[in-house]
Amino acid sequence: MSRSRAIASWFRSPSNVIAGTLVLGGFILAEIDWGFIALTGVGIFGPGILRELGWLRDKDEFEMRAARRAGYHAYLVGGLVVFLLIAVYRSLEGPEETPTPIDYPSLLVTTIFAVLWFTWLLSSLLSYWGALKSARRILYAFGTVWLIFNIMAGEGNWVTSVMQSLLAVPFFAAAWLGPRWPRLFGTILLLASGYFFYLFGYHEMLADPLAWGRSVVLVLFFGPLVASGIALFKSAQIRDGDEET
Amino acid sequence: MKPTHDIISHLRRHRLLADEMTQQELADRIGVTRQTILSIEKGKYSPSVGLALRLAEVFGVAVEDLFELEEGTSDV
Repeated sequence: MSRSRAIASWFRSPSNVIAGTLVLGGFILAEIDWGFIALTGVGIFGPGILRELGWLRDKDEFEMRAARRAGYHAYLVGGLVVFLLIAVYRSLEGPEETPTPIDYPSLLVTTIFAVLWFTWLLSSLLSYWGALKSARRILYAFGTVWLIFNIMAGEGNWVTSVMQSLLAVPFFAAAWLGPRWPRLFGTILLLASGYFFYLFGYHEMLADPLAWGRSVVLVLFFGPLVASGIALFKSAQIRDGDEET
Repeated sequence: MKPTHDIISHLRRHRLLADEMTQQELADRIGVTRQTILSIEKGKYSPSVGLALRLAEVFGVAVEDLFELEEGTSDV
């Protein structure tokens, strides 16, 4: 299925359109009242629950297997992250007046949800598309998000928008060239992740509980970089050329 | 040592014999995605009994003609 056909197929599915509308609507209406964020939850998890109940049959068995495996992987990673967080921050507890991330449950919950969701997404992509296609799709999606974000950040000044949009070019380049030299681009992506991690001061997050607000960005920014880097390495190991048929 | 079983798929050969039916055409006929057909052909996914029967029905052959059991051993 070509990419355009896959996108058209996604929009032809009523469940996808309804779920997408709920997710987007929930986020928009949350600006008015946080209660509306429940709509986003229904949009994200509702279709899966209906499929497990057998009331919605819009996925074939291979897609369902990928989703279920991803759910198990998210459970394993999410559970491990929860226990690591408890271990680290309970052991860091100092005097009562010193705040720790445990004093900010909303930040912790959001972080754990980001870990769960990202693990689920990455695993289901790998199971369904394979390593190479997953890496390309992650990079294209990530590049597109950065492109939109930077255009909007230009606030109407087209010169600024164009200049800032150039930041998305490396992601599109990696998506295009990565499959040709997967080890090289896998290495570049992982090194870039490490560089940005220190550049943005994320290594100081453990010592600064109030910096925990950035933990979601940590998952959603570095997650795609690390994930696509690892996926490219994995595709280099497979090297059977199956995924491009 | 437990025996391990892998499925060898002859789906691609049957598809090509059937007037070079495309993966998408086959997928549309049995109600799955093209990626599912691709994964079965590459041996990355072993279909359920129901799906295997539907595939065999499309080509008018027995399931055994489409899939073969490869038996081996491992230290698992």
